[in-house]
Amino acid sequence: MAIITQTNRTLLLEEINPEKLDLLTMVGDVKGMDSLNDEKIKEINEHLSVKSFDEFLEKFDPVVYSFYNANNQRVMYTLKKPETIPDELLTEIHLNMHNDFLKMLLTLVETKRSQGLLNVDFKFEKLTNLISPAKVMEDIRQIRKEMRYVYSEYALLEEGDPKRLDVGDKLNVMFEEASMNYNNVMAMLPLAIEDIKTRLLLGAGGDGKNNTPLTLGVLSMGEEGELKILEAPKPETKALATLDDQINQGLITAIEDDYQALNEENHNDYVKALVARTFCPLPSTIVSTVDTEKEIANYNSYLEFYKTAKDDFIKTVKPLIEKVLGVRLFFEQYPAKLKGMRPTLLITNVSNEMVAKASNIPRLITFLNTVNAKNDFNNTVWYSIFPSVSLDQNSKMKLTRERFQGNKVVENPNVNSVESLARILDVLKDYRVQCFFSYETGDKTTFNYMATEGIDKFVERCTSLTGKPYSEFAIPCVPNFTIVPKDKSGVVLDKKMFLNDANMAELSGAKEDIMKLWIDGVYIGAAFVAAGLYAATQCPEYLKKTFKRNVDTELPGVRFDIEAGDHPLRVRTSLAKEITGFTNSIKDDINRKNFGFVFSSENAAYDGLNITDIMVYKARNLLYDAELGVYEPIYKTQVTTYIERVLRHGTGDFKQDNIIKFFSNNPQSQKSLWIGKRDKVNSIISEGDDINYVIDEANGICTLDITFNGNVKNLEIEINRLTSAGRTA
Amino acid sequence: MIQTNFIKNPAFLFLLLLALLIFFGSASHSVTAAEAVKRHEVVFLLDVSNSMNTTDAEKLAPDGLEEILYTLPSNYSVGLVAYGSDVQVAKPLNAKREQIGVALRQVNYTGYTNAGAGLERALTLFKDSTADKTVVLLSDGEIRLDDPVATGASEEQFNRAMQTASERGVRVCTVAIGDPGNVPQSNIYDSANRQGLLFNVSDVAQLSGIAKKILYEVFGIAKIAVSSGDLQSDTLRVRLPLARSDSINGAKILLTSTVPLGNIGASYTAQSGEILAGKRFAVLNLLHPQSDTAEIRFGSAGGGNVQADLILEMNASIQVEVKNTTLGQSEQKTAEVRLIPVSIANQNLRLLNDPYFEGKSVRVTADGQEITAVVEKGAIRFSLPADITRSVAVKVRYEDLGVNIIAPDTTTVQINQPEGYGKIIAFVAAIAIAIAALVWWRTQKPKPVPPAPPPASRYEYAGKLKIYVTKAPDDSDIAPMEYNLYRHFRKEEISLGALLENCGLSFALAGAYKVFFSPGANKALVLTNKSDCTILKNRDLLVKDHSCLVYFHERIHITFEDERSELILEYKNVKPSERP
Repeated sequence: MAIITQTNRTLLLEEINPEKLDLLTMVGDVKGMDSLNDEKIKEINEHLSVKSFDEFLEKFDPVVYSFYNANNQRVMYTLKKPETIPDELLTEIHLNMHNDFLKMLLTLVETKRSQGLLNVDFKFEKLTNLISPAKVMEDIRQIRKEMRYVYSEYALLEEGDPKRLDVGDKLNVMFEEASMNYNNVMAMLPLAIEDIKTRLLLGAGGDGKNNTPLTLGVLSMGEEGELKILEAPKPETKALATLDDQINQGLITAIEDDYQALNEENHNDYVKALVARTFCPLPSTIVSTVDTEKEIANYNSYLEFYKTAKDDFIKTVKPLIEKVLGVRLFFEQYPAKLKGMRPTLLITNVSNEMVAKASNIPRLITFLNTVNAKNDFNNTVWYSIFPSVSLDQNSKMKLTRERFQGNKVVENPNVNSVESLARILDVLKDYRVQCFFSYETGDKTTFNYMATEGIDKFVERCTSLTGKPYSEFAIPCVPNFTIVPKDKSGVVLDKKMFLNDANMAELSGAKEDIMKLWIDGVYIGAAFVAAGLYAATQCPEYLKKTFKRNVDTELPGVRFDIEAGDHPLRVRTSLAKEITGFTNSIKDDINRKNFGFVFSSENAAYDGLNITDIMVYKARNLLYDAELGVYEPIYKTQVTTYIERVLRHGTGDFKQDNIIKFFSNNPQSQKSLWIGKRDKVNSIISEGDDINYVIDEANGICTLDITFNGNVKNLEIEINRLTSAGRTA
Repeated sequence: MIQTNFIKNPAFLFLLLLALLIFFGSASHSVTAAEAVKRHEVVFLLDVSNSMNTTDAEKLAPDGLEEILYTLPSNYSVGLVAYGSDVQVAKPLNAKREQIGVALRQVNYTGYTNAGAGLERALTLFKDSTADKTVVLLSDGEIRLDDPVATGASEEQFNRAMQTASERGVRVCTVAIGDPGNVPQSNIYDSANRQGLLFNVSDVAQLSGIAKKILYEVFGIAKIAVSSGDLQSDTLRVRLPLARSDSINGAKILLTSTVPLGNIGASYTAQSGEILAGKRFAVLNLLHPQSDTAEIRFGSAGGGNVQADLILEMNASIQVEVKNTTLGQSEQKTAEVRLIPVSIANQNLRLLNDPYFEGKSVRVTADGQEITAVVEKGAIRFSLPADITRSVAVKVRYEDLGVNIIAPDTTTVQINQPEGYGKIIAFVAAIAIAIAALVWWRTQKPKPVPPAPPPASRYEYAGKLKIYVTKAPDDSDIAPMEYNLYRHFRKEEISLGALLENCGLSFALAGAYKVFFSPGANKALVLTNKSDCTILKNRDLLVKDHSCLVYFHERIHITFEDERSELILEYKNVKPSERP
């Protein structure tokens, strides 16, 4: 039976929703405490641990708050709930699968993956305009169509018919979904914009030019065969109209009632009519006359307001969206259908500046002491993700006491300082948690940037983290992934209208009247993907699915070296390539330095098929071996940690005589069992590997020499000695 | 009621007698020592031969000597001899330091290397037979002149001068720049064999570090590290650690850098101040600082490592108090000695009467033995046997206190036997005390006797401490610190306050100096609490005057006497691979 059943529990050091519980709060004051009890750990898992993206959205409910500022007539957005604003004046915008921005980005990732196109070839604008009012309206139209259909079924069924109740349930769900749109003015804005366009430009051509008023007509032939469009007659058959009108009318009434019920105190007739028109379009015979000039003014004002609000929303939400996407991509690296060692993410939900504060670090230590310093490995944390590290390698924590008065520097609040990373790494190393970290997102950390600048800048930025006791546990992940490039992130919402000479509404052709907003680039920290991919490779099922043969069903993939052989071609990320590739000189440089966890976007083929996914090129931490002149592969740390833990468990906390048995040549010894499986992809001791030990009785230290392909890595452990004279207290 | 009965009690009369005995009968007395202040004479001996043009193109050697020159305290006299083919420059010991500095800056590297002439001339500059004498020799090579004969003569001259130096008690401290090579003849590299000291640097850029070694290790100048590591900005604000700045005669902030420094400026409040700067160092020299902060601004080429040290100087005379006591039932007579450094300008100002010094240990040599004394209320307190009347010459290592106290090198303490009548009074007083104690005991619950302090440790330190200041007095955030006990100490007891100070913590945590560590069995740490701090280990409270063992991976939580500041200590193992 396997002692350790999971080797991929990952700690995400990020804040998602400040209103939810966080690790520091849950751990609490640790005065006089070395560890937490089981109930506390269970509680922490319940609130902070997730096994899928859906669970993450449900538990953490990432949200943006908006409120209206009457002074500047703008919508204000904030990620932190403002304390002084009453709840009724605050709107929560949940970043879930109903949010158009998040939906658009996920669709974009999906589409790009399926098309396998590079960034330069992919038509980002086709997808980014999913957040334009026109596209929002398309979604609504689909909902509307479905509502009408279901309602017509409902209307046709008799009272008391059990099937009517089922259809009624379905209708309730649809109304609920629709009501999320007409529950607040902001959500109605894109609908109002499209609605006005529809009504004012009904007779216009595709270019929005509208010179004549519209009167509906019928094409007919005249007495002498000439073609005429005559004014349409009033409908003659009452029956069809009645039936059609009844369904429509019934739906209109239902929607109007629903709107009224939800907005008892502050409803107005304009919005009510707008809601009705949106969710149940009236036949053209019932179209009322409009005040064109007023509607144009409304339209332009709505568009302007919507653009500014959307702009502000995107600026505010982008850091959070990038985190949400990061979590999504973490889980996406592990196939949804597999049921093996599914990676788990434990989210601290608090800023790293707070975690790294001297007063809070003991809480993190207490937590890790509880989960990582036991012979129970169910809650053991093996990896961590630390995204958005400042590009300024000398960046300090904002809370650090100023020993030396320095210049005041305006800092990006969404970026983590290198100092906070260093402090947290110092804690993580004691519990052997490997930390995947990546730099702040932007156009200076992308594939494009690395393709032109190479890897030197990243090596330089990591100098302050190299040569430290924690360097072995620091894994710099480069480059970050681009979801929407900065230069392709313009979204045309719509054009403003004006009243032309014919007193008709017309879309303006002037450049300055094109309402465009800039998403300014959306990226995902490489650390999420790196951790997700590596966590996935720990699962024997995953390896089995990838390699088919020579995979042990029990052993975790701790020894799996993603750099070896054809592993990079077989174990790939779920993201599509971004560039054609790095130049040979840059690749040579990367190979020479053997630095970092480096992704590559290269032309490659495997098994006769072109590879269109981003692959892993290097997987190294910051432990530099001066003799070999290389940075150490990360799997070595994982194996060492695994062996130490199995050894502790298997020897009853390092009893000397048990250690000897553990490594003996007895076929049933653990070492022998491992050696017996050395041909497996997920072997612990692979071909060319070995483990030997030396016991220093005088000092009570056992040194394990773990050889990886001829290179030795040492592990020192303090043993429980054989003789009572030397036994430790 | 109890108090009224007690006053009527005859035992009270005996107590009154005892009080009189203490006032009149004690052997305590104050003596102001009148010994002379210890002086030091230093001669810089600089090789300015032509080869130094290659070795030291940037002239960092004279820069390093200037760094020493301006940092030395005021009881050091400095002279200079520079030699090439012959002696080029000779500045006597009574020359002003600025003159020496100018001479150093003006040296030209030219000629051969006539170290013999240089050393001989250097020795002639020493005057005071009682002062400590040191020659600091800086050279990049062996003795060499234009012909072998002259070279041989210079070598002989050098050997003779080294012999003379040894006879006169002159210490030669040699800084050799470059590779000693394989030179068989006697030369400057050989000076280490003759009771001198040899520092070898491969690169002149290391000279600044050597200058500091000479200052702190050779001369024993006390300093407080203000900063070490990369400086992120160009302004350094230093807080003087003493509550009273008037006890400080002089304060020097020594700034050293691995890259050139420039644009030095400073803000301070003092009687006077000056900035003395070289290529890779700057010294802000303040006379009688009048505020507890000073600011020094500088510009440096990027990518360098800038360090700052604070060197404080106090001029003191020493008052002595001796009180004879009898220790326990063995009736061993001891004299409790209190040496009180007072300001020369104000005899009522006790220089060590400051929270910074309170509880600090300081080494004292008396009766040929080294004793650990403690600073208590401005006095250095220690005990000596008082079996016989005698004069004891006491030498104090003031540098243990982190400041340079310019005071007489030795202090004479007179230990007297108590007089005959004193014995009778003492006997009566003993009876009275016994009766009074009996009465008092009957009315009070017995207090528990505090456990005896642990005996001196026979174990060695084996681990390190991770220190987390979870709540600073000023609410600032202090980065976690690590202190390797194994590396810094063997067996001696250390206080938490001293440990924190060594970590560079500039503020004092109330009571920290009364929490002690010493090594215990099985690599454990013995933690002794002599303070009123609240110390928790695994929710167990460590009360005052008790000790506990701390094992690896165990944590201690301390709330200090101000009931506000808090700290967590984690005791960790030092793996064999981490040991030097």
